[in-house]
Amino acid sequence: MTTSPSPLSHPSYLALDRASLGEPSAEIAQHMESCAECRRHVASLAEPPPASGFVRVRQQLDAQKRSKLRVLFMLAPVVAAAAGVLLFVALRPQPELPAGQLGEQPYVGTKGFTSVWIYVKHGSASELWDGKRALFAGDRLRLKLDPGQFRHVQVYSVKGPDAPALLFTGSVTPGQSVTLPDAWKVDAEPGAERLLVAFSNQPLEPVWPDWLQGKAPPGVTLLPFVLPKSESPDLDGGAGTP
Amino acid sequence: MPPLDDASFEACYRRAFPLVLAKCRRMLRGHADATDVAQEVFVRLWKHRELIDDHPALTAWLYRTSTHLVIDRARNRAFSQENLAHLHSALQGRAVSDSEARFISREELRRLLADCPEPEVEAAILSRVDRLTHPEIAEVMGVGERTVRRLLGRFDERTGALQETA
Repeated sequence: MTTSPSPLSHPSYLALDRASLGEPSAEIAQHMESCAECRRHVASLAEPPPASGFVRVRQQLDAQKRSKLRVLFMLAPVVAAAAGVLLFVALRPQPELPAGQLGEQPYVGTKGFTSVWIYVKHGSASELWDGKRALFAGDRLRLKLDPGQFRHVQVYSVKGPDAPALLFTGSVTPGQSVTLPDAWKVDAEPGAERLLVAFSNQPLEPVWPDWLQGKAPPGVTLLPFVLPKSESPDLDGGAGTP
Repeated sequence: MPPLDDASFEACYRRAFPLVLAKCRRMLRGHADATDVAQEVFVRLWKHRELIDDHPALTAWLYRTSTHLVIDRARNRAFSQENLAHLHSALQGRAVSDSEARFISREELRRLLADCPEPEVEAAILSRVDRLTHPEIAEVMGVGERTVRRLLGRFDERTGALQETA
């Protein structure tokens, strides 16, 4: 099979389903005027499903949440034991160090765990970026962040040392993951897409020579991402290709 | 389309569940198996709601996920024999009339699923069962049209070879 026009000249079920959700094209509307079969299909979609179905979906989601919590409770003793071992290692008596080696550098720790999820939308298909998959011009990127204990986030596109562009800056709620409201389109320029996510407690003025080397000032976490780019989706078959 | 939240998720279920159920019933004849898969699709939709930012993305995601779920469950033989035979006949574009034909059909499907990579089966279902055009399949699967043609061509080669050996 080399071509697949819709059999019997009917639109695809996807096109009809989209029409039923309120996106009918003029072509589909015209076809439906003269096609009882397609009209029947679209009419059948207008019947609301029984409410019990949604209750079952909710029950399944709740059950999965409970089972996750159960696993966490089961792991709690292991985590507590590991914490005890770490505490012992941290508090055990240390051999005396020569004067001048203690207390010179203030300790700055990372507050909580920060995470970034990158969603890539290619056509209408969106997927979580796996850390390797190449992007294509026209793909759209959206970021979900877990700011840990930080209160502010800045996202930059770093094309080169001279051209960092601020994509997003804004406040976040500590401990609450958030999906950024903006999505960014991948351009056709050659070279990988480089993103830098900066977590802090207040808006920052970037110090690019340091930031590009990964040197973050105290109380700031920098997460760099390099997303490779490919010229044509068909060169590697794209997502889901064997 | 704003991101799905508790309230909009239920509204989305009310509007989109019938089309997911209809798609599942095109792949599987039995109402119980089709309903089961359609509900699982919505459980997954809630978990991946960040992926959805407009209606075309929603319908594409629903088509892709329901197709994946049916292929996975068919591979694990989680469906009744009649449903497996129906899926195979829908892929082949021919009806199965009696119990002997159903037996042959589901055995052919078993060999096909064992031999065929999932994207090829996915493209074949979207093309043969859901009547999607190549550009629509490319959109739903997130690949290029050339890849769609290649996947469908390979699927046909495999089914042809399987029928010859049979």
